[in-house]
Amino acid sequence: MKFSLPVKSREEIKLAKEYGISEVIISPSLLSRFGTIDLNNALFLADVCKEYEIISVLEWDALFTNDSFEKVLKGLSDFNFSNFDEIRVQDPGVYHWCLSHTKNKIQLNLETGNHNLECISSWISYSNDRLSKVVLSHEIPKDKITTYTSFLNIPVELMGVGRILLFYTPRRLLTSYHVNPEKQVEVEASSEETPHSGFKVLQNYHGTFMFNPKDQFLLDQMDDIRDSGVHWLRLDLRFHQLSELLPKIMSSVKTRETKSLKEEWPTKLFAGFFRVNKTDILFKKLKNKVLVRDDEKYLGVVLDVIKKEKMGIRLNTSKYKLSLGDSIELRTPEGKVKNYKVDEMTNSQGELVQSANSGDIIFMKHVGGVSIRSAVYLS
Amino acid sequence: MRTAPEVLAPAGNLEKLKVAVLYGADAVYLGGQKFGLRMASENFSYDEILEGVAFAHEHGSKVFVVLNGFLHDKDLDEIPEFLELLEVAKVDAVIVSDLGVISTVKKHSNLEIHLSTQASCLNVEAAKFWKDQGVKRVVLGREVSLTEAKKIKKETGIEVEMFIHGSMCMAYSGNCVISNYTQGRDSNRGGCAHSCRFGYEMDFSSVDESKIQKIQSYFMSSKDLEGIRLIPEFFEAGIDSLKVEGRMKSPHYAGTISKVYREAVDFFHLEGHYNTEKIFEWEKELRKISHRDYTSASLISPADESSIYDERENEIKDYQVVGVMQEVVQNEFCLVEVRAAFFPGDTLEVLPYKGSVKTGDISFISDMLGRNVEKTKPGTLVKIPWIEGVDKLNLIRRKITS
Repeated sequence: MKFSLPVKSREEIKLAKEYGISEVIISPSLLSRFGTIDLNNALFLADVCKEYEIISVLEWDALFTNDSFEKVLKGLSDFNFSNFDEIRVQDPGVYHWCLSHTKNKIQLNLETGNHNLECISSWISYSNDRLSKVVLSHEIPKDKITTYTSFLNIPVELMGVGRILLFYTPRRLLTSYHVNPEKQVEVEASSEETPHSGFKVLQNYHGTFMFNPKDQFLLDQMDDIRDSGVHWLRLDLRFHQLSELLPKIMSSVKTRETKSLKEEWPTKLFAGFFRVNKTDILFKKLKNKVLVRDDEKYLGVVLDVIKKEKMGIRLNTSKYKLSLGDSIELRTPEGKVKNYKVDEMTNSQGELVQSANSGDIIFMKHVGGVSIRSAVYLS
Repeated sequence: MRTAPEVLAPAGNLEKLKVAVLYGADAVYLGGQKFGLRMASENFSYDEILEGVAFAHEHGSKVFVVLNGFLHDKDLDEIPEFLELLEVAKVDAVIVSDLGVISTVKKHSNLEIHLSTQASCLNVEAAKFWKDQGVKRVVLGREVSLTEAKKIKKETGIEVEMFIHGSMCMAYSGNCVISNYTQGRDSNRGGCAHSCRFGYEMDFSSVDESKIQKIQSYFMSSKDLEGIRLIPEFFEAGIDSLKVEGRMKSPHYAGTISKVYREAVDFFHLEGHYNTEKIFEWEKELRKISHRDYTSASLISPADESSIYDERENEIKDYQVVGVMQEVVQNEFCLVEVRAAFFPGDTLEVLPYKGSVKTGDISFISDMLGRNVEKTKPGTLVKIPWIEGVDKLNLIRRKITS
């Protein structure tokens, strides 16, 4: 297992080396959504990495519309990409550009979506062997990661510890509140409409970001991570005191004792979706399944009911017609089923009709228990 | 003469599809029971897709089917069978955001692929990437301006679709997982809980120069997009399709946006200018459907703080749809499916497929048994006097009075 670490200074690179970190991520503010250093400083830190024989990765994960992208490219006209060992990208446009305009190895960040093997494989195959690794989404559980790593021909990275980004917009949402738009600002937000509180909201040069109140923490699951075939674990301490936490993390990894580290962590922690992802389980509750049309023998819908007197039905299908003598099944929104043999039906002018087709409104005797929106099927 | 862009309307169910098509949409987009981003929407059964496509094609409109969730492996296993059905149904394209789904569509069908806005295609380089993947059309991210879109189209040759109207994600589409972590519902597979519309108490005490400490705010809620005044700019940029958001919205919404944007596009296409009082009429119509405050968002320049809808989620609604015409018997009566109460003596507006709004004085209302009705109830069928020039499925509305 190798470790990756975002850094901002020479001292942090030195510390990374001291604690056995294999690669550091260097994030200039022009290119990286959370970057805080300028391009010259980024180049300087890449040189420091050479000195310490540690892999340097240029992070270019901000999203840009075309005008901004062109401005960024102008700003990079003399930039020496070869100073870095690798470039980490996220936007498909940046990926495409880097493949054709740089010679570096590329790390592709697939943390936003990309939840199936076919997808991940397709991203990799496009690179013609230029990818050195892919960063997988935090939402992929370990059994899936295990499957993926057995199929993929390049290493994968997971975030071992760090903030979980929930929301990214280019709009500066805090500026309305007398906040200097040029400065990076972080506030806390809570809502009574969600059981969670203390969302960190960050506004910077690239827009506004919201984070989960609990950090992801997988260091107590190192055996499972290793077994799942993950090659790289990112220690994303960019929003924390790296010098304070890194020694404790590496000690904890070595001793397999995480209790005190968790207690000292500046935020609440959780394991995200590493064990299981059931975020589709509530979908079935989002609508009344009884009302979902079952195509088999579907005829139409009850539009009106006058109890014990009459009901009006609209035929909604061109597959079947309704004729006198047909037996129909009426399924109420509550799930009750009533059967009825059509012995008489009329149109809106009160004329008797023998049959009805798609789009027709017909009227017949009310069947007890049948209410409006009941679905009508041929028996 | 420039080619007119397509007017692309949302179809949350078969009724809305028919309404959108009849009111002038060149194309509609819809979702099946799975794979889209609106799991709470009624959506379409397979037979409804068949009927919807047949109806749309009969009226010269196209049908696109969304498969734009960030699908997981188990979802992907079910896609080939659905693709086969979509090909049989002769849908015109599928709208996709996930590269794995694109790959699956290519392997298992010959369906045309449009890239969903969910993939946040924002620049020329990204459009080139997606074109390399076999995508015929990109639905650009809502952060992209018309000038940028023009460049993307020019430099890649790919078809370009842009949103012109409707609710907007505040986040870069596909870059919001608030629901996943706070509600246990995958927002990118149809479970979005609209957390961006919630009120938040914000604590500014850590911000040095801030004059406020705590404030209650809807800071993540976006105003709705409206591009009716920018029709000439859409033409000038060569945009292929003007998309309206809103599969969860009402038939009134589907009908109004289809009619208004149809008329606006046709006007500019035929007249070659936009100096017309009709713009005010169109804007007036767009204010009769439920909406938040409108903004042009990033169509001209990047959306700033004025695009935030800092109010309790409460869509403005000046008009209410009170019914849908189910049958029109000339010189006798109209049979109406009631959606909201109205009364004998009311003057109602009927939105015809083309031309100005018709008004009708409701001198009588009778129920299925022919009895007089003093106040209509939603979920009933009533007869009202015949109104000249109205058609089946026309929408009937009433001004809401305080």
